[in-house]
Amino acid sequence: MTAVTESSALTSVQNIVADALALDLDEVTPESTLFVDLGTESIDLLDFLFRIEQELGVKIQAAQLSEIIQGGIPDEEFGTPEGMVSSVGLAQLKKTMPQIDEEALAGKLPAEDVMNHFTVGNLAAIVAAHGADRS
Amino acid sequence: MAQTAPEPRIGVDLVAVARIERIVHDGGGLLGAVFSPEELAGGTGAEYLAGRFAGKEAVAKVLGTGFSRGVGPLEIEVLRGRLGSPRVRLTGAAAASAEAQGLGPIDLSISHTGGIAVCVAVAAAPAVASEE
Repeated sequence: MTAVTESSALTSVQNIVADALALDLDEVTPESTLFVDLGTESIDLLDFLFRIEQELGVKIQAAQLSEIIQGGIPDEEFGTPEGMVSSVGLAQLKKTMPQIDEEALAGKLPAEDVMNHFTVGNLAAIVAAHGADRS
Repeated sequence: MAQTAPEPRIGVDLVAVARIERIVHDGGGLLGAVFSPEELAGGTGAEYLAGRFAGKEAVAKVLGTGFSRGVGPLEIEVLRGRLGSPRVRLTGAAAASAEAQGLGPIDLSISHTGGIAVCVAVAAAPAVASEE
């Protein structure tokens, strides 16, 4: 079984998302946010991950996503008592969502809104990372 | 030290029946990854399953986890209770989460209209001690 490259993962994820949401492929760009731009609902995310497993052999459970995105940082360190993403949390998010503007979001990003920034490209990168060690 | 009354924990979700219809029509294995055999034995029509999925999501909101924080959809089952009313069965991480939070039994109400299924889930959360 061949490893999944970043390029192939992106192409596959774009096609899967477009097909699952019945969108034209050109509406699904790497920068498109799944939940805001593309209107993804929970059932859609489960569908994407199911299709990714079927087509690419890469298994990512929806239940794991927060842990992957938070990098295993406990909730009490990831967020502040006021419910905002902490500086530690933002630094971690920059790794899984490199497109975010840490400075602009400092102290202003509610933890519950993190997934609003999750893009097609971010999902593809996670798929590639999970598929990279297969050979 | 005074005890406040248990506060209700509420979750609500809406699901478009057409979205579930597409999944049913696709005939792939996603249904089996989301619904248990016992849930599917209760019905496989799109409107029925849309209500059931809305139920899973509403319960996941009561737990405070959604489906991205350690709890998967198969761990929240919405089964047929007596007289056909929905009843919740939690297993695995969902059951552990509810127990850790001291939640009471979770009750559901499902409705459908205009191509949308909606579910409200309610549970009692434990009383919080407060100083007077």
